[in-house]
Amino acid sequence: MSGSSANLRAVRAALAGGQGHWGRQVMAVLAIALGTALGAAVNLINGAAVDEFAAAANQFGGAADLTVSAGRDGFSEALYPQLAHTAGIATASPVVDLQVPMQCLAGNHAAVSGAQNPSQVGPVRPIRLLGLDVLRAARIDPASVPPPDLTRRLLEPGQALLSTSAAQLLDCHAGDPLRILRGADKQILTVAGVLADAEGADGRSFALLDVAYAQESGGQLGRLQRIDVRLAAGQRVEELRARVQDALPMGVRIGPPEQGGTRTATLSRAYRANLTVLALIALFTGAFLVFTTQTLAVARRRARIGLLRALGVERHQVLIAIASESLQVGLLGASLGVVLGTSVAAWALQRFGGDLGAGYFSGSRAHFTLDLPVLLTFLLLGTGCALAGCVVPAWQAARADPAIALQVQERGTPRRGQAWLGGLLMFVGGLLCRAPALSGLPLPGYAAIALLLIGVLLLLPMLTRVVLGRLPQPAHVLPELALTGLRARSREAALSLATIVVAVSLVAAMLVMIGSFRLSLSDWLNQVLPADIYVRGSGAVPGLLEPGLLARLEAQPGVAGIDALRTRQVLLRDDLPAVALIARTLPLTWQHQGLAVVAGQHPDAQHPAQGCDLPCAWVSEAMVDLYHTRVGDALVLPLDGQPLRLRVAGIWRDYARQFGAVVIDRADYQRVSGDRLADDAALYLQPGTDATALIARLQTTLDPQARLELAEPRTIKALSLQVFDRSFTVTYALEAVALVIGLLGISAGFGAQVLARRREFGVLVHLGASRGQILGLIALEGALVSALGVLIGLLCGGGIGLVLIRVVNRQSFHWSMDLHVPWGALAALGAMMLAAATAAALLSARDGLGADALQAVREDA
Amino acid sequence: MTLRALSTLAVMVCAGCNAIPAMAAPVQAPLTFPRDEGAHPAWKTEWWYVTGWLQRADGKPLGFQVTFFRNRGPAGPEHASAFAPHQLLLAHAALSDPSLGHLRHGERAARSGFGLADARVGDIAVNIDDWNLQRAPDGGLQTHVSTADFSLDLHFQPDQPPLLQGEHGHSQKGRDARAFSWYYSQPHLHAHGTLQQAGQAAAPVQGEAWLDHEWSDAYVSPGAVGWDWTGLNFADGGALMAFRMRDARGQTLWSAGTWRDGHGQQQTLGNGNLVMTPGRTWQSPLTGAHYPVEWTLRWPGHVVRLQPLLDPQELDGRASTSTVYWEGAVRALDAGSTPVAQGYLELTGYWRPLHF
Repeated sequence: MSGSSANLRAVRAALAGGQGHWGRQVMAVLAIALGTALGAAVNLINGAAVDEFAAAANQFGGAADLTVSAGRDGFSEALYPQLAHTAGIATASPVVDLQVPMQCLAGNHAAVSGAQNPSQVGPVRPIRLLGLDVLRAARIDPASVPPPDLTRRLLEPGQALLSTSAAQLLDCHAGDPLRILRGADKQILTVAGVLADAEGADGRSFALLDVAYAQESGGQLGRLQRIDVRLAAGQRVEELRARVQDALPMGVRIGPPEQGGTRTATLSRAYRANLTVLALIALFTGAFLVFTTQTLAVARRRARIGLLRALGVERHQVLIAIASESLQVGLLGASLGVVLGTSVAAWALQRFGGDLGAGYFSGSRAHFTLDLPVLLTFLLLGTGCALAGCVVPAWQAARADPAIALQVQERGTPRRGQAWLGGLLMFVGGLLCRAPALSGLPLPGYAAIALLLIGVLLLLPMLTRVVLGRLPQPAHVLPELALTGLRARSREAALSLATIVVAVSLVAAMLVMIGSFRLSLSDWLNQVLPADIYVRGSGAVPGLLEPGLLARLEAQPGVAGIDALRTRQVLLRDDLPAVALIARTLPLTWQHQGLAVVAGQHPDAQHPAQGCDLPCAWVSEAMVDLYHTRVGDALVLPLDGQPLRLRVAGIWRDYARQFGAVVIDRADYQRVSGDRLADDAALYLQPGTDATALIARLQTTLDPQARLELAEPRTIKALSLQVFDRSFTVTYALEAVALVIGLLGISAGFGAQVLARRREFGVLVHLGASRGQILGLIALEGALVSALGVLIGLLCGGGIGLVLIRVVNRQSFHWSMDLHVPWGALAALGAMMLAAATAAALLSARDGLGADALQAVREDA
Repeated sequence: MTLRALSTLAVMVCAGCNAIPAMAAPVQAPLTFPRDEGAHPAWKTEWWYVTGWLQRADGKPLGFQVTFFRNRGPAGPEHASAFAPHQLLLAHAALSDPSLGHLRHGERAARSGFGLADARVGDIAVNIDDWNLQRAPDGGLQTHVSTADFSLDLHFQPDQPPLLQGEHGHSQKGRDARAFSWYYSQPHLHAHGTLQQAGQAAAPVQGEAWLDHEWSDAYVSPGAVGWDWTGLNFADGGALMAFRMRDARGQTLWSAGTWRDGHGQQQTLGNGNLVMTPGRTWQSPLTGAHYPVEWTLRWPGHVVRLQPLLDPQELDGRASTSTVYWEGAVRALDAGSTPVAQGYLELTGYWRPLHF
């Protein structure tokens, strides 16, 4: 053992110093560090967000054996005694679970200027309102129930317990009056106490009420959102689950308690997978930089390696020696990356929240925790990438015939096989684009992107040679020299190109995708927001617009018409979030569009839908992807435990809901459900009416308590685009890192070449070339290579962008978008990369081409 | 008479329940049965309390206790939710098995409603989930309780008329006229049924029991920190109920009782002609509380000494209900140390003063 390690040390010592300028090693370390950091950060943030979800879902009822639920709208409380009497069920615990805007009336505000002043109140915040029967909940899980002195207060009317986090959000203290902004009544509760985090609140925001008062305050008389179930001893979970499920009304499900959390986590799963893949691509770029660095380092040391081999050093010893160099780079880079990633994750969670600003987890607060398995995974991944990057060069070095290796230069010619393989991979990638998503994730799409990228990289040497060969011979000496030189070293040039191609591809792809998405969203918003004013319950509280209020809205002077929307949630599958059932006035009388129909009939007044034997329904694209709904199909939705039978008349594009929406006529809905409430309303104004002024008037006269949110479409549009931009913030960070890695690649490549070509430059100096001219030559070569890289990168990125739009996004989010190429942004990207890469080449050349270096060369020559 | 402040629920809901009410108590017509065996929801608090001695097939004795409490909840009639806590119910069951050397017990608590928990008006029928105490088809009573440790099914048959406590059932608890309850007992209930203890097969049991049914708006007078109560079935058919209210110094604030001899002659006992003298004390190793587990009772023409079936019959509810008291099976010996009666003894306020 000691002998072989001594040998290794000797071989490494013999090779040391030859791998080139230390700056290149630093760059390789940096590239690995950045890739690892991004991957680790994205993963840590995702982990924290998902944990937060699971914990929130499990806090009340997490200890239950099973949970009966039916989404946001809940079900009739008659199920409660039915379940409690079911054989095999020991305890059933009823739960009301709502999102309701609340406001604190005194507290700090009172201290400032007296509670009587109505303007001195806390902020209105939508808070989760949980109604529990503590006596029952305690039998499911005693730990989930607050301490006895607080629980006692809960049974008294008008008392609420706030979690610490909710109290902070509302700026509320024990004893303060708490206003529930819900329904027509003004309800004031008293904050009986604040639950410390240690008492089960643990950072989550909720207000806890007795189930009876939660029903009353939440407008849920007769309804429950959930029943948690504890099984009798010896009862088998699956047997009971099957037996109970059969007896439950349509749309009501019994399942493990985590399922609620899973369903919510599914909401953001595709988004999170997208980010992870992007981070991995960054890491891949890093690996490629190691490949470049090591290939060049090996090339530089061919003679030395040949000598060592000739002196009797074994092949595997050379292999191990070179691999251990990369291992050092990888370990150092990955360690740095893990530390950096951890800090970035902690900072980002603090700054943007667990969804990184995408708006999936509103109202919750993710906590940063050090997840050692994740960190270890990325430490290994980063190191592994560095090792993988050195496999080919190390193998080449070890394999080389000592006699040939000892010769001064190797004239590399791209192997045809490599190009063929590249073409084949790209072809397979293209085929993969046709494959469906795997378990809800566009994995084939990701694979296609990877294959496309690797394929292009394999094709690079050939592409470089062909393109350089086709360029016309320039008239001036310097360009001629540059071109000739590059043609001679097309293999090295291709290596320098690789990182820039990867980086530019990634960024261009994201630009194309985001640009298309943003424009499509903007168009869509214009299309679906045709009215002049939009009204909804504060905090998006459902069912706030009762018929009287709608009539008063319509009767306002200046209002020409009103379109009221009722949205219900229906559960169609256990493993997917609920589908939105939207009841609105059809045919669309007031607006020409309002529904972005992409297939089938349009529900407008001029052309009433034909051929609906059942009530007509328009389904969103997600319904097509997730439930295979087609135009003309019959659709059965569970509504209040009854089947609602519909005929699909058309398909529309919905950027607002990822998991499906169904639009039906409000009249049909009211006939079936008897529900005359609405959640949103669109007001159409008479010509010449000032929307802003009308909103101001409505807010003061109609709605002094600010239970309503009134907005003009331009505000909603601006807000939506703002959310959109925020959700892509992280993507921009990923792009920036990829670009930096790309630049490092160019600079590493040129730095290496400059050192390798000192002899050549020395000859030029002998021939009378000035140092400036030589630098100009290098800059020109750099610009040429960069231009080629940027061009190939843009093309490849365009292709990947298409895959992102047509395959990845469609399969992740189930919405289509139109291709909009952001020419300006792409041109700017190209120009910027060109300039930066040329500058990087020049800088590394200057660095490696000090005056004394040239001097030395001249003397040497 | 029994301890009702024994559970979370009672503590939770009835903090202040037994303070002297500001308003007049609800009107109670002269007691009639079975109507007054049912619930009296207008009153703040009410309980049905069955205690007794059972024998297994091998002749070994056991003590048992099953209690259902009803408390008027904090929700007024204006609350429309079917879950509104108009009435809260609590049940408690305990088993004293000398072979175990300690009590086994369990409890249930629920708000009334949905048929899952109810205390019916008009006749005895009170339940929380599968726990119940109700009229049996043959006109007697029956109960079912099950805890993690045991499950008990018993049928009770009275062979004596109810024993109305105090004056025709109006039982005064202190000098303040407002501190009283409506109270009758049903002594000498023949009990038989099955008992299943953890890890054992269901076994037939039989014995003799005692039912107390009491309802009140306030039954503790100011200054009391606890009480001592006993109900005894005499072998000759006689029945004695006796209690005293204690102040912080351990002195008797108020004592009262009823003696019905084997011939049915009834005598109301009160301050002066009923003397309850504590004897030997036992210290709980768990809580450190000292309980007088042996007593001497004197009333005109009688002296008996109470001896516990076993000393450790303390109920340690610190984990769930934060109350601790002693409640257990006792036998009564006459002057010649001959057993003459069996019954139950309840000792409260020895761990910490009860707060009302």
